[in-house]
Amino acid sequence: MSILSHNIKAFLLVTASVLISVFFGNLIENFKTLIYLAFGAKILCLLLWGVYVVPGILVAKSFQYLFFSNFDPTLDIALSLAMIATFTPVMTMYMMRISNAGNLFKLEAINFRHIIFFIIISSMLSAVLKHIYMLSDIEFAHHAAIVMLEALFGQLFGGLLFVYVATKYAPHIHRFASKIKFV
Amino acid sequence: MELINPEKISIKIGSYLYLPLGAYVFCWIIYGNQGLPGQLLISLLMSIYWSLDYNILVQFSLINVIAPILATSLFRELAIYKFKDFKSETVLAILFLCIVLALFNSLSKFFFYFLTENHESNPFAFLTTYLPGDIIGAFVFIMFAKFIMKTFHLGSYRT
Repeated sequence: MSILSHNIKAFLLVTASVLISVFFGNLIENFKTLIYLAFGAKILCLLLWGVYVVPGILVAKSFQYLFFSNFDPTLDIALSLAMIATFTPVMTMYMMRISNAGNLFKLEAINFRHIIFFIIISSMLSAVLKHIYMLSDIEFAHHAAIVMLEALFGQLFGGLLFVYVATKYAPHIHRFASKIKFV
Repeated sequence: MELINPEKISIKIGSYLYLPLGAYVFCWIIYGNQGLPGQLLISLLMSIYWSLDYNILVQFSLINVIAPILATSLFRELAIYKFKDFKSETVLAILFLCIVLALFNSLSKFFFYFLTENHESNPFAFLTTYLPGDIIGAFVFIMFAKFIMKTFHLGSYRT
């Protein structure tokens, strides 16, 4: 039951971050490409609730690629990109654990330096794998490199910003929200 | 006698076994700052031998030397591994270093190559040859060098 509730929370968190990105993307030019908050939300869900929230993240990412992407992907492309985006951080988590680079599966044992390392490696791997999938169809190599660079830095900044804000201000936000009385 | 004809070498695709990257990271970890001028010199000389374009020559030579520094610094600064020598590190740690190093090296080359000028080469072929080539080459070189050091009691294996 708790796994189901965690999956629903992960879905809502990732979807909310996508909606925030879309909202600010309409107001500020290049916000969505340079600060990709959904990446940070995904990382935070995996750190908080473990790999059991993969289905929730997968559904949220598919939803994002189908309805909120700049291009018009077909269902198979949207699902493939969602799978790459979901499983790359999980792969990095396992890679870090088996090589004794840090255990991100236990919340008590997590060091913030390991999270920074995890975000850097995940963003690089995710940008490479997602764009390798699409590069074969792109004729203009210069444009492909720009898109990939934007995606890389967007994921890096978005991931670091989201996780930093969430870990630093989440207790204050929770305390503030608990004081509000909805009459 | 010329073993490899430089005119037949194309920079548009990489080698599937790029051993020099392993040599660069090995030298950086073993010799530190003192080995940097030598690394830079040999990297430039090899690029001149392949008769590359001047801009690409300088960029790729610098990336070959800087990428190992960045990758090992990332591990050291974030307290993942120390990488003082290869004696105390496990095979999986070395493999992880090679993956990170290959990501830094191939992505930097990819961005410099395609962002500075609009080349007509295929980006897919570029990344899918450079990235695995860097990982395999670096890993094979380091493991071979570690084996030689262990067998002949060299470096940190002396005691």
